[in-house]
Amino acid sequence: MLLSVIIAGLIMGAIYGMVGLGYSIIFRASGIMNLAQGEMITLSAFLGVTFYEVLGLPYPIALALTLIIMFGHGAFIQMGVISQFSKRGVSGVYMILITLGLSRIMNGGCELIWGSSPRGFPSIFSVTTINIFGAFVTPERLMCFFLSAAGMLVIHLFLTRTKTGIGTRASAMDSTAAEACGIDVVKSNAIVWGIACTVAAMSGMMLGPIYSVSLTLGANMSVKGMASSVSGGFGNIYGAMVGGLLLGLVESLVGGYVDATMRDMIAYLMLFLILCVRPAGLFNEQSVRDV
Amino acid sequence: MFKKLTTRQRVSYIAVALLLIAALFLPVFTRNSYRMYFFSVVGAYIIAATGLDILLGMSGQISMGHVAYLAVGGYVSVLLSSNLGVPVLASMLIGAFAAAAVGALVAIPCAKLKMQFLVLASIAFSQFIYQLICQLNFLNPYRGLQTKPITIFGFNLNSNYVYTYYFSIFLVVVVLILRSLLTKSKVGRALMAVRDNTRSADGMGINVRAYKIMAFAISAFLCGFAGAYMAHLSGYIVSDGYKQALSFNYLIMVIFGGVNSLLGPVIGATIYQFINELLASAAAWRSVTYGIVVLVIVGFVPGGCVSALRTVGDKLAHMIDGKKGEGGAKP
Repeated sequence: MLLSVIIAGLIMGAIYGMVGLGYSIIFRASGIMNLAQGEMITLSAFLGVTFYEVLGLPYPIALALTLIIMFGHGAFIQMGVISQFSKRGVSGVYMILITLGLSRIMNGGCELIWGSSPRGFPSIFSVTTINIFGAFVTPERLMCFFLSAAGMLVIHLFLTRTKTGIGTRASAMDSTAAEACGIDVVKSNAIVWGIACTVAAMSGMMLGPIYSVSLTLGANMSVKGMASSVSGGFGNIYGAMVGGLLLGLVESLVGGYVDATMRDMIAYLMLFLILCVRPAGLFNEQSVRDV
Repeated sequence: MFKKLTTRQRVSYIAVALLLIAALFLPVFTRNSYRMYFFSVVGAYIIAATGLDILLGMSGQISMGHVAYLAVGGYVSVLLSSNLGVPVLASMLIGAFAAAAVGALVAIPCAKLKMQFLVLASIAFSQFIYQLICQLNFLNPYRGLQTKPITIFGFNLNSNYVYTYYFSIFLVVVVLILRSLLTKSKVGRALMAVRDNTRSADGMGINVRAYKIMAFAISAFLCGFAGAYMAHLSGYIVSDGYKQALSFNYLIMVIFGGVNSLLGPVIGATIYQFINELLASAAAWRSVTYGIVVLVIVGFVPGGCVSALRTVGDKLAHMIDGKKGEGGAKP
């Protein structure tokens, strides 16, 4: 019992961490709290179900297509919307409201294109369950865990080993100085949003087979993502992952031993309490407090 | 007194008076029960939006979970009036005070957070309240509770929605007068100082934390009152009305009407309700429309509808002055 609860928790936690990662990357790079992140998950899950089920493409190709499209979508949102508004002097709360407006537009758009009824995501593997030390897990969930780990590794390598990745980190730290060093800040911002969207797409493609694809998928996941990135320290990319695993474990333990209907409430309570008690998160991220 | 005013001020006073008269005489033209109910609800929305605007426009903080305070006000009032037999008006006020207390309690740890994290905390709190309501079986969260009608000295206002309509107007006028008094008071000025520059306000000897908490409490009070009013107006209370996502609607009202203005929430709430009704059967389009409205207003008309009206008022006053040949006495 305990083992299967822990495994289930870690798997969900990996996905939560992935969702939280999207928030952290954008916040790190541009100081914007992107409330449209959840709807990006919804959008990519719908795209994925279209490619995989309706067009009948194999899962890896459907995944790759979704990731590429969502990268373009993210870059477009940054270049076409966010940077245009920040040129007009929109900042702070009003930028958050812009992302909130974007999330409404994306949610409505999804409903207009795919309709309001949820869609099932057909299972990917022919095997139904895999036995890990006596705990039974569906292969889709196991795949989620490894995909998250792989995605995390790729993003880590990109940010620390490639020239473009280091450039995005530099422009996140101080955009003026980065520009003076010859880094194209506009481009690197677009890349950051693209990555955040790709991360959302990955979580959307992973969540699709676990839950069904519906319009509320992103909204439900977004709070989990926020909770995981806050508990690890908002803006801290590795913190988001740890926070996600923590949240997944806590939720799974509460669901297993206390009451399954209280799982969601715990996530919200955890987010609220961490903000109250230790807003800087586990890894003591600065940049949170006001006077 | 009227003669002392500048032309510009006269223009706005006359416009407000005309608006009020139009509102008062509306039932002469239509006594359709549904329409009267519709406009009564607008009154409740205006009160809630004013509450949110005190937080957003006056003290420069934000909450994306104000629905939680509507829920607290509504449920406290309904439980008190139905189970303990408290008169409805008194229970509405107690509900509002309960919401204010909750708002202050939330603000004590949260007011120190920066904007983005205040957003997160308010979202989390609101979601938590919604989940909590869904867990409490005695609230019958999914099918709803019946609520008592609003009565004044034994007179049932809910018997005809024309009465609630006038009651709405009365409440809105009271709230707006209180709000304009608040703007001119020491508290209001302190809140605006905190909004404009937190550090300099701190340096001027304003207790920033205390005033931020006060803004939350006042805002939650009005929202709680609006929540209680809505619950008794509609005759039932159900958890679905308090989902966190609905907080966005109140933000739209405030932003659309114009932040930090007396009439902003009035205009915003009215137009919001009309858009809502026009697109009632097309939820997807409604969502897209609100999204676009927010983008357009924030990006291009930061003052909302009120700023557009102000420009019209300026021009009108200028024209009147020009005819008299007095030379523009623009404020």
